[in-house]
Amino acid sequence: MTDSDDPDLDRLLSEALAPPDRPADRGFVLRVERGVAESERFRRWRAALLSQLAGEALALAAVAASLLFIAQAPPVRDALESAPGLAWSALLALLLFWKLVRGRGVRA
Amino acid sequence: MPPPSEPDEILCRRAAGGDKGAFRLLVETHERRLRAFLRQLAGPDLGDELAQETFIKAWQSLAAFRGESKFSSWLCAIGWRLFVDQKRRQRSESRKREAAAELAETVAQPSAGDRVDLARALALLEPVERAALVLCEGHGWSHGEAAQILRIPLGTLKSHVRRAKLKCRENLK
Repeated sequence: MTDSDDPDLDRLLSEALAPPDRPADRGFVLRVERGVAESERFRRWRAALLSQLAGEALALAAVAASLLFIAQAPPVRDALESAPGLAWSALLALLLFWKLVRGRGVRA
Repeated sequence: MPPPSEPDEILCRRAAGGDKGAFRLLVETHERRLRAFLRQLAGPDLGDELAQETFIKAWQSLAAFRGESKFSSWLCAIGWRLFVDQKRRQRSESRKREAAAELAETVAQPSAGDRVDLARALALLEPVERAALVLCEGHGWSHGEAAQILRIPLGTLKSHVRRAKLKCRENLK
């Protein structure tokens, strides 16, 4: 493949650097297959995790928007103005409820 | 010469669609050449690790393979990039010396005296010079194909091959 003025060196190089003449290495092929299966499992796990995170972010945003909407209703707004601690108690209750639901989800 | 590319194209299409049997055939066809290339660059253990990583990367990127080049050269290019990345990570000077010593012992068969000398001569080359020499002199790639694999201009590739041969000749004297 290359022009050279040293045919002996060319011959030596092509003999020493040529790939070995042998059948496929089954052990290596199996290792690659295992690696591919592992990478597929990791890809699926990452996709599931991302989809779960996206779902939870969406749910949190929806809950926050609902709470804001409810808090703006005149009777609720009046109640919150007369007792500001009520808002914190409601948020705490929601947080505990969320933790409880998540905990059950993880155990299941 | 590199294996014919037409069956590879069909196998690639099937493998890109998730056919693991087709991918297995591709691995069986190309592991010998790819491992020989990477072993010449990184030694037997690391070379095999890089070859395995190359095939996994190829599986993940098969959808991006457009068939503009041969599958075997695409594979070698992935292997070369993985080797370069690994080399970048391997900063310690002592590790480099160990790798060179290991390479000197294993690049060629130790049975022939001149091959042991050649292995030492090869270990003294820059990785890109060694890669260029292995691809062009040992694996039968054309200069253009080797330049594509190593992602360097054709003229640079030719210089690397010429310089590598000169260095080998000097070190074998």
